[in-house]
Amino acid sequence: MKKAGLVLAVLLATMAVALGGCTGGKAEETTSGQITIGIPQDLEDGLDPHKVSAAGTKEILFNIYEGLVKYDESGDLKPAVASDVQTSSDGLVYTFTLRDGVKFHNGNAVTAEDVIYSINRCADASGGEALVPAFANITNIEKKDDKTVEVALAAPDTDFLASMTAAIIPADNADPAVNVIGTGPYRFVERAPQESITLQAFEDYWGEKAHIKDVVLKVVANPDAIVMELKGGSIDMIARITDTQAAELQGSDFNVLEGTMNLVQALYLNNAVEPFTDARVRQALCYAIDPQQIMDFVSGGKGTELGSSMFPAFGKYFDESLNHTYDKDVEKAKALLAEAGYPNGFSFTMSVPSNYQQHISTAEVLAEQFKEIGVDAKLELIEWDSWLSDVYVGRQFESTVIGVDASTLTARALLERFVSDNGKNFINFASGDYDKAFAAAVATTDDAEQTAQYKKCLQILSEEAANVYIQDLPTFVALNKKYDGYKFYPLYVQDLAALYEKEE
Amino acid sequence: MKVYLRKAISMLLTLLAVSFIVFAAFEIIPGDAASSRLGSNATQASVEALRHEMGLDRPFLLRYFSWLGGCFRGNLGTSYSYHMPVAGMILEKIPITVTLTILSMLLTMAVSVPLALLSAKYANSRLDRAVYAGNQFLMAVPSFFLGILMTWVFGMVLRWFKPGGYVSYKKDFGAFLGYLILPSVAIAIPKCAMSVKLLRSAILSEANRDYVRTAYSRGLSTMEVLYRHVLKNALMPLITFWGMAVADMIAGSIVVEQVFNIPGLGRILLTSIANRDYPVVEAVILLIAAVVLLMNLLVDLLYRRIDPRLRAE
Repeated sequence: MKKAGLVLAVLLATMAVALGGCTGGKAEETTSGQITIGIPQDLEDGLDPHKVSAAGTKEILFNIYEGLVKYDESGDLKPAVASDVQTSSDGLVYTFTLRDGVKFHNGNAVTAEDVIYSINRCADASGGEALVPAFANITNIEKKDDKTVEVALAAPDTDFLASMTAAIIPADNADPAVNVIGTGPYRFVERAPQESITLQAFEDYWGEKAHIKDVVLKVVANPDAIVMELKGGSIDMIARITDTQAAELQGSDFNVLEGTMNLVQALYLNNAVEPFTDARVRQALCYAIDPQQIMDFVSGGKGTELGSSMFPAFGKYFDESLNHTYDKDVEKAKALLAEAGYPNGFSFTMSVPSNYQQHISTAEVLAEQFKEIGVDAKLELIEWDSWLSDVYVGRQFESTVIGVDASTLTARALLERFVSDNGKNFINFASGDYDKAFAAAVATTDDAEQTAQYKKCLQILSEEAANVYIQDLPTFVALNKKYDGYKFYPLYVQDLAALYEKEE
Repeated sequence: MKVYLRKAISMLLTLLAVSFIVFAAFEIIPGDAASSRLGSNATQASVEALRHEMGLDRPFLLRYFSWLGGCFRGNLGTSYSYHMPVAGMILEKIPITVTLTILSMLLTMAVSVPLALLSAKYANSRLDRAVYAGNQFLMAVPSFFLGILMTWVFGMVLRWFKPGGYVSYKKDFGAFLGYLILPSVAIAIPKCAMSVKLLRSAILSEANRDYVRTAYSRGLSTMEVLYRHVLKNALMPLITFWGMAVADMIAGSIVVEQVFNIPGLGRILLTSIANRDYPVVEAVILLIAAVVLLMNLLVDLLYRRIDPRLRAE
C-alpha cells in the first residue's frame, strides 16, 4: 500500500506547528462569550447536509458537519472523522482509519456503521444521480473492523478524497433535515424561520474546540440595512459586504477584511443559440470588453481578472497568460463580427438574477462596452428561482452574468460542467478536444500529466471563447473590533470556530 | 340569521377561490420547489426525480384537491424549505404581525380622533390649517419611506433605537413591544392622516344637518351635540376606512417588516414565494384573505350596531 495519506501526514505536521505557534492575544482555551453574525438569507434549503445546495447554507453547515476529511484554510485536505487514509498502489482502494473519540452532537460515538451509512446515502442514485457524483464510482464499502472502513472504486480517481468531505451523520437519524446531528465544532441548538439560527460550541469536539460559545446567525434580509445593523450593534459580523458598504464602515467599530469570492464571474453564453454558435462571435465579444474597467466600476478596482474557468486560489491550474487571449481590441472585434456575417452587429439578451447586485452592475458595464462594436445587449433581470429553472436547468437563455464556484477544491469541480454531455453544462459547450482532454485528465493518476490536461482544458475554453470571462470578485468581511481570528478559505465556507474574542 | 349564513357561505367560497388562484399562479410562474431546493446542483434528471419524490409531477388539479383535502382535515402541509409543519410555523409568526397591526391601529385611533375633533371644532383656524397641511403631506409619504427615515433619525443620529435589534416575543415581550413602536408609528402615520381628513370632513358635513340645529335648539352645548349626535354619524365612513386599514396593514406588513427586519408573516410570505414553498404561501395568503373578510364582516356588524336603520332589513 502506497501512502496517499502522505499529504495528510505532512499537513498534520504543519498543523501541529501552526497550533503551537498561535498564542498571542487570544482568550485562550476557554469557550465562552457570544457573537451575532448576520446572514443575507435564511438556510432555506433545509439542514440535511447531503441534500442542501445553496452556498449560503453549506458555508454554515461547514461548522456543524464534517466528513472523513475536511478542508483547512489553505485549501488542503486534512483528516477529520478519519485519522488516517491509505490508498492502494493501483488507486482503487481507500482505507480509512476512524479517529478515536469522535462523538456526534447527541453524545454517541461515531462508528464504522455510521460512516458506511453516510457514504451509502450519498451514493444513492435514486434521485437521478448520486448525491455526491464521484460516489457513483464506488463498487464496494466494507467494514474491516470497528475502526477501519475500506472503500473500493471501479476506476482510479485522484479527486476522490475531496468528495470524502461529505458529512458523516448517525445511521439512526431518521430525519437529518430536522434533527441536526453532526460531529463539527458547533452543534445546532434551534432556529426560528426568517429570524435566526442558534449554534453552540460542542464540548466534546475531537479537535481544537471553538473559542466562542454561543453563535447566533441572524437573518438580515434587507441588504440596505446591513451597515445600520452593524453600526447599531445588532450584528457583530457579516461576510460578503460590497465595496460601498465597506467604505461606509471606515472609522467605525469594525475591521473590514478583504478576500476573494473564489468564483468565476463571466458573461456565460449559450453556445447552442444563434449567433453564439459561431466561435468568432463569441471571440468578438471577448475582444470588446475590458475587465479592469468592469472591476473599477463594480468593486472599486478590486477583484482579479480571469481568462478562463479557473481562479487563482487553485494555484497550479491558474494560468495568468490566458487573461491576455483577448486584450481589448474594438477593430478586431468588428472584423470578427463581419467575418461571421454580422457586419452591423446584432442584439441579444443578458438574463441576470435580480438578487446579485454585482452581476447586475457588471452586465450594465458590459452593455456599454458592447455598444462600441455595434452589439446591443439588453439586460433582463429575473428572479433567482426563475434563473435556476429557466436558465440553469432549462437552458432557455441567450446569455447570463453569474459567478460559478467550485463545490470541492478540485479542477474537476470547475471543469466537468463543460464536457459536452454533462448535466450541468448549462452553456451547451461542445468541443471534442475539450472532452478528450478532460477525460485524459480524469483517467490519469500522474499529477503532472493531469495538471497539463486540465490546463489544456482551460486553454480550449479560452481560445474557443466559451464564455466572456471577467473576474473573481473581491469580498469584504465586516468584523467588530472586539473579535478576531477570521479566516478566509479558498472555498465558500465560514469557519466560525476560528473566531475569538479579544482580551480587553 | 339567514343573512349571516349567506355571509359565511360567501366567505368560504371567496377563500376557496383565493386558494385556487394562488395554486394556479404557482403553476404559471417559472421554477418550482424542486429546482429551488436543488439550486446549482440541479440537472434535468435530478429535478425530475425530486419532482417525482415531492409529488410535484402529479396533475395540477389532483395536487390542488389533495392539498385542499388536507386543509379540511386541519393539515396545512409541511414547508418545503424548513421541513416544519406549516401550521406551527405560521402560528409562531402570527403574534408578531398581529401585535404590529394592533399597535398601529391603536396609535391611529388614539391620535386621529382627537385631532379631527379639534380640527373640526376650530375649523379654518390656524390649527386646522396646520393639521390640514400636515395631513396632505403625510398621506402622500409611504410607510416604508417613513420607516427608512425614522431608522436613520432615531437609530443612527439620536441612537434611541437599535436598527435591526428585533427581540423575539418569546424571549422578552417588553423589548419586543419596544422594538415594534417605531415600525407601528411608520405604519400608523399615513393611516392617521387619512383618518383625520375623513373624520373632520364628515363632522363638518354633519354639522350642517337639520338634526344638529334641532339639538342646539333643545339647548345642548356644542360638546354635547358633537359627542352625542354628530360623532355617531360621522364615524360611519371612518369605520369603513379602519376596517380596510387593518387588512391593509396586515398585507402591507410585507414592506414594513422588510425595512425594519422583523421576521413576521410578511417576511415569511416573501421568502416562501421566492422559494416556491407553496404550502406556506397558501397558508399565509389564506390567512390574510380571511382577515380581510372578517374585517368586512366586523365593519358590517358595527354598522348595524351604530345605525338602527340597517338592522331592520
